[in-house]
Amino acid sequence: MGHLHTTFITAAYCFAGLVLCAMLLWIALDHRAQQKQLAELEARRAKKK
Amino acid sequence: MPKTPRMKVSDLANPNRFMRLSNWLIPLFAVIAVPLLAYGFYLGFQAPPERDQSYIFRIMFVHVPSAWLALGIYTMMTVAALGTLVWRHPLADVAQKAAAPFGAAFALICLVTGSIWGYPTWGTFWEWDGRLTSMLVLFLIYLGIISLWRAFDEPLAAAKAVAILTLVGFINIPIVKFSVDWWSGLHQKASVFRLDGPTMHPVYLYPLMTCALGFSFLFGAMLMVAMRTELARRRVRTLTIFVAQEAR
Repeated sequence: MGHLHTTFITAAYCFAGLVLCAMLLWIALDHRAQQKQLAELEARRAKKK
Repeated sequence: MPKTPRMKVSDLANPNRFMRLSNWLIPLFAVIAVPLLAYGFYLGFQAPPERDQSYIFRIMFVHVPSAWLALGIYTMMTVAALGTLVWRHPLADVAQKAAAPFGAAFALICLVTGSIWGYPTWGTFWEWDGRLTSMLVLFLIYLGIISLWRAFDEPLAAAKAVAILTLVGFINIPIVKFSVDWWSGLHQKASVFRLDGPTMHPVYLYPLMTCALGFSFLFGAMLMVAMRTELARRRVRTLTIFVAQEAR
C-alpha cells in the first residue's frame, strides 16, 4: 500500500511540476521574443528619423 | 502650506506606473513564493499519515491550492471583465488576457492530480460527480476564453467579447464551490472555507495554507511578467502598423 501511494504521490507532483515548468518557460520565451521584436522596431524607427 | 499630492486608485490604471511597480514586485513575489512553497511542502511531508487516507493525502498540498487558484483567477478575471466593460480600465483586459492561461494550467493541475488521488481513494480516476464535472467545465471555459482572444486581430474588440464570455462563465464558480453541498458524490465536502471554521487538523491545515500562499505569490509574479509581455505585444502591433504606414 505504501509503495503504491508513493507512485501516485510522485506522479501527481511530477505532473504539477511539469505544468509549472512549462508555464515558466513559456512566459520567459514569450517575454524575450516580444522584447526583441520591440527593440528591433524601435531601432528601425529611430534610424529612419 | 502646499498640499502633498495623494495617490488615487485611478492612478493605478496608468500602464507606465504598472511597469515601474511590477519591475520590483516581480522579483519580490518570486523570492517570497519559493521559500513559502519549500517550507509548505516540507511541513506537509513531515505530517503524520492521515487516519483514513494514510500518506496519499500528500497530494492535497498541490491539488487544493491549484483548485483555489483556478477559482480565484477566474474571479479576478470577472472583476477585470467589469473593469473593461464598466470602468474602461486600460490594464483590465491586459490582466484578463494574461491570467487566462494560468487559470487553465491550475485547473488542469487540479483535475489531473485529483484524478490521480481519486484512483487509490475511490477506486476510479474519474466520476461524473458535481465537483469534478463543474471543475472540468471551468477548465473548458478557460480554453474558450483563450481561443476567443486568439480569434480577434484587434485587441479592443476581443476584450469586449471576452469580457462578456467571462461574465457569463462566472455562473460556474459558485457551482464549483457549492457542488459538494448541493449534490452527493464521491468528492469530500469543504473542510477549510466553512462558515463554522475549518474542520481540518492544524497539522495538515498549516502546510496547506503555506503552500496556497506560495502558489499565490508565484501566480502573482507570473501574471505581472505576462502582463508586461502583453503590453509589449500591443506596442509591437502599433509600431508594426506605423512602420507599414511610413513605408507607403
